[in-house]
Amino acid sequence: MTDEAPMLEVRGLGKTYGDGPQAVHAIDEINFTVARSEFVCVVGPSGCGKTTLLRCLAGLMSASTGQVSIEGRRLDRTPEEMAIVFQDYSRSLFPWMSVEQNIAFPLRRKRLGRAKQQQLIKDSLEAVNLADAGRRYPWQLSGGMQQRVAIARALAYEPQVLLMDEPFAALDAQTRADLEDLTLKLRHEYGVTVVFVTHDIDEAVYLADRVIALTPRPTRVREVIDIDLPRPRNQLTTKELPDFARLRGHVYRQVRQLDDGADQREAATAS
Amino acid sequence: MSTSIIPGTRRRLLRSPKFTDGLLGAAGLVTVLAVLEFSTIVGLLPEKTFPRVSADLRELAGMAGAAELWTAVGHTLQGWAISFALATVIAVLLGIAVGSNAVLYAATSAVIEFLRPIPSVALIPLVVLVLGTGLQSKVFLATFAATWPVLVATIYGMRDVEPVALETARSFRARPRDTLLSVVLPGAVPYIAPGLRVASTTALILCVTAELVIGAPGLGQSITVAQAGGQYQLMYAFIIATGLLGVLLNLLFVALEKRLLRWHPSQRSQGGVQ
Amino acid sequence: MNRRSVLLTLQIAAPILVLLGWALWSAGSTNIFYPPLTKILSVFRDTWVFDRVGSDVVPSLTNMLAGFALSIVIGVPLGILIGLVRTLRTALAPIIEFVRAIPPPALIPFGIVVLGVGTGMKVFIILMVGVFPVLMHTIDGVRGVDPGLLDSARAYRVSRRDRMLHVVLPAAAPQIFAGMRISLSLSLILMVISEMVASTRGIGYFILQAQRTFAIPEMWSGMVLLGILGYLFNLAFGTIERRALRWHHGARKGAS
Repeated sequence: MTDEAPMLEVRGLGKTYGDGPQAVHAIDEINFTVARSEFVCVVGPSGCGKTTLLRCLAGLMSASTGQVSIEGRRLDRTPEEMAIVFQDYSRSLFPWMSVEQNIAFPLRRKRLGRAKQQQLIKDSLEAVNLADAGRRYPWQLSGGMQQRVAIARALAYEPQVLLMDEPFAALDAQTRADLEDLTLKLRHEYGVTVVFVTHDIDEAVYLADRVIALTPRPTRVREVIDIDLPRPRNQLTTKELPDFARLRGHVYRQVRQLDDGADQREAATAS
Repeated sequence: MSTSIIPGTRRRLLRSPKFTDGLLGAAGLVTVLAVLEFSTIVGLLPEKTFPRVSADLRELAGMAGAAELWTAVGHTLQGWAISFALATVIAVLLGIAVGSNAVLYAATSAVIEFLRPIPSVALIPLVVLVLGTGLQSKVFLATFAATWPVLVATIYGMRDVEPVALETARSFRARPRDTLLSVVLPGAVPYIAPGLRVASTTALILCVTAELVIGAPGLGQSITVAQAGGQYQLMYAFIIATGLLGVLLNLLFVALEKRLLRWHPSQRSQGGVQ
Repeated sequence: MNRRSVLLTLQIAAPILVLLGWALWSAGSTNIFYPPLTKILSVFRDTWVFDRVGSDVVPSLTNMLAGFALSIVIGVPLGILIGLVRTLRTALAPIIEFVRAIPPPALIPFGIVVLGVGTGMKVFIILMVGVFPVLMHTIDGVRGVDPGLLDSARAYRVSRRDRMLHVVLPAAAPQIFAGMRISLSLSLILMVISEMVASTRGIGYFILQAQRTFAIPEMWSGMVLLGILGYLFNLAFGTIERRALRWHHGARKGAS
């Protein structure tokens, strides 16, 4: 890494809901940075405030303490360089707009000119293998296709950072694997920085350059794990590597907060 | 997940200043009243036809001790109660029959589609001819109008029962009667309850209409009599009283709905952290 | 399939059978209150096709549609505003709840006192009554907009104006249409009542006058006309609604 500011920097981020005796301490303190073009997965036990963290990263919610910066600029609302793919595609695509209109809607503000906008829509739909679906409505498509439309919308926005909030959690295993590979391919082609929140440890290890494992509430960073698996990754061969199993196990222990003794006890009961 | 947290916080923040909410509402009410009062004082509204609000309210307060107001309210409420009860019984029974029988549904759905949009007030002249200008006419009109919302809601609710719930009942070999009473009907209640609220409002509207148009005794008649006699303060006092009656009945039904639908997601408070 | 076609036939045949039944039952009727259907229909033709269209039907419907249109023009923007601004909503809630709870016809004497018995009063009364369903449903619709959709628009830095026009308004549209439908039928009712109470022309006046002069078949013909109008308005509105909310019905079907 050079001496330029990191793409994304989270410093001392904390979030408390409410106040007084009823206050809920969701995030204690989180620090991490994401370099340009890096693929970072954030994993944590369920209910650990992943979504809160993502909403703070996205500027959709203000943190109680600390700050998020993008290229050194402190962020108070969603910055222009950032696009978000939400978990619930049925609530993030607008049902009254066709696929094309959905992709075009965020571009209105950029005043790109018709030709350029059409080009972006066409390219992004091709990138997610939905070249023919432009005229259709989201509800006419399957769940996996809808999430691909959401990804196309994010790509057409030409972001430098792509935030993905458990984007494949609602999809079946097959579609999910396809979309994981699609995400990796797009990251490679567009060179975009990706922050990917998930609760699926396999998915995190398979996709990431680095995995950030969180603790339960109040959330802190438990460990940052480098994933030095070779690229390009492959659903079969990558997941058969001994290193994959080792990393997976390591992340699993971190997320479940198992010490070695507990690990062995669990292994004993499992066998 | 992403949203449950925020309303939770907002609700908690709001619960403590429930008092300020009430204060804000009262302030809104007082402001509107003050604007009306002031408009009359400075002559923006003609004092003759639009007396000061304070004078109207004083008139109403003065009537509160007299029999005239309460007799009128009694007449209107009597008509409302009879027609609401009749409409509910007719509509729910008919709705259950039609909603649970495909043949009956096919035979009636188009007829209902034709009859429902007919404005009930079109019947007024005929009703006056056949039933006269008393309570009977009022009850007939109000019952006729109030039946539709409950009927349509009941049929819709009966037919919209969760198929999985029906299959569950069938898999336990429940008798048809038990399925109807413990699966289909409770499932239809979320539809019927709002239907009842609409029916209550409709019945009140038609009672007042009948009083107004055909002169059956009640608040509607009192309003026209006051207007025809040029007693405008009295007229406004009666209109305000009618509105208050409407508010009261409304509150009653909202509370009733809450009780009936305690188990339904729409009534569940989303408090708590998760 | 066979059972389905039987049911479908039944559905189409039932209204015709009802009419036939009415015609047969009333055919030899000597009761002056219930004249034969054939008599009613021939009077209907003589009266409404198209003798009184210009003098009664057009003025009535003009009032009604003017009041209905104003209800929408005022109710929707006001509803969006109140739905979005919590302070305004809290402050206005008691006054709205009160005015809304007044049974609409009770306002007619008030309209007569303030505006006289002319067209202005009728449009005013229709507006006074019709605006509330539109207003309340719009408020509900705006408050019920899925926060996920709003997040999505906010995350893509969509401007406030575009958020209103292209997110909040379409998302609330199913509710707004439901309110407009209620408002439409109320408009027709208030049109009739206002003409019955204070008018010298219009459909409502005609019916009441026919009753008072014991012109019973004429009275029935007016009632039939109102029935037909009510049905046609409902049909027309349903068609417009289905077109405008195609995405909504599609999305719901897709979800189930």
